[in-house]
Amino acid sequence: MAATMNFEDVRDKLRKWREDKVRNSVETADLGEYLLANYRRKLGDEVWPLYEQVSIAALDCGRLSLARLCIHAVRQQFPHSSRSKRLHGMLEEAEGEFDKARETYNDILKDDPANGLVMKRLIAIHKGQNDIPGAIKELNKYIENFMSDSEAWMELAELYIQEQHYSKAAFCFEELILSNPHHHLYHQRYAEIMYTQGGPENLEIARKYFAQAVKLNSNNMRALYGMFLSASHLAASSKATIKKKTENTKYASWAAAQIAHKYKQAEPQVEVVGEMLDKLAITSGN
Amino acid sequence: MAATISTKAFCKCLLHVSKYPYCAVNGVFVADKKTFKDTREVKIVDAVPLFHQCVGLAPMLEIALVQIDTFCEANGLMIAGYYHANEHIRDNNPSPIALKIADKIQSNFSDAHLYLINNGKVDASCKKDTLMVYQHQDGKWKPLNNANFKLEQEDSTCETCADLLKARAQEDLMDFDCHLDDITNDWQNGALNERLESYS
Repeated sequence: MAATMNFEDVRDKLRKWREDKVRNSVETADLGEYLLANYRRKLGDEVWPLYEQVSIAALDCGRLSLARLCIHAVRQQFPHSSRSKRLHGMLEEAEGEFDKARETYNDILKDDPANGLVMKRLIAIHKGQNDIPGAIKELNKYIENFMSDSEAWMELAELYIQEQHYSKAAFCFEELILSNPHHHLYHQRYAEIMYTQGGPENLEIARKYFAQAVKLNSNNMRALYGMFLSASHLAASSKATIKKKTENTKYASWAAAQIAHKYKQAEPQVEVVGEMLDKLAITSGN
Repeated sequence: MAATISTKAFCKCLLHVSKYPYCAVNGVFVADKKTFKDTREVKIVDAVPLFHQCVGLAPMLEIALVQIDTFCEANGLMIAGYYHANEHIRDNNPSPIALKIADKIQSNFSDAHLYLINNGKVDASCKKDTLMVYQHQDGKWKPLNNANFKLEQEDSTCETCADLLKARAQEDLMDFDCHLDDITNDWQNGALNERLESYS
């Protein structure tokens, strides 16, 4: 493998992954190890961000010895930087030394109390110990200080879903939608949560938000399917008024037509989907 | 005997787990309908990988199961098991969400089992004890001894799986989430199926 790899290509690839924040840990660790072993001098100052990138990738795929090597190099070069201390803390986490890691992070926070990344590591420790309620508590504290961190809200919602606290997860997405009303994924995920909660009112909300997600991005398949599914259920509900029934049948068949059209464009499984739409239409007709 | 798991099903399940080692994943096992009718043996022939982005929400699961059902009916198959891998490496208990989905599947096929991935045992050797099997008894899911299911070709199933992992075949595996991201991604994994057939 190594003989065919070109230094510039590999360097540029890793640089791009670093900038785009791509999580390609296995390859990053392999390629990075190769670069660091053969071209350390040629890399110039870029060697340091590369060390950081490779150590995180190595931690991600459990290659602790490679991670130790990289983190040691960074620590020697920048013994007082909070970034290098944080890497050290992450290594301690990976080794299962959660108390030590917590100490390391608290140490950094003493000098730099607004370091969001380090606070996130403290939350991650709870996750690492499989203490989801603890992680939720810490994350809530973090969000009090960093209200506009949308990633944190997403993470919090995900933790709530894991704990099946759907209404709290929905609240997180309400915040996210307020922060960015044009993001189709927020509407879609919010609708999925409402649908999961169930009940005719929530279904109606789900249908509306799926529809909004479709409006914002007509290629969002989850939103199209969701709109179809929730409208079909609403149309089939025995409690629905005739007006509601006709309306929802209309929405469902519109979504079904859109879905069928998408598959026609993409081709492969047209038949399966066609049959499925029929099947759902039959169940909702009853 | 709970079930026999084919090489194809076992490999797809483990490839799915290996493709997304950092998150919870789930999927279903499908079995041959006629074999079950004739012999009451659950012969799992294939696996359909479902989700990795969010396993706790209902709508896309419903869509996936309806599509898989249609696919099964067309091919003389039935959904006969559910597999689930937790996000946390040392968490080897079925989560409430996993139990709920397994309940749903079991209500349609009473001999369905829940297979939990033993995260700590996932490694390059792909042994049978990567899977832990649970049976539904008196309204609860109870762990069964691993002797209750077998791999169709035993050691050779494990070897095939190890070969595939070494060749990084997991990159080619597509689950239902991939399909929803881009519908040209094939959740039936036609290309991978062909590759698997060349092994046997």
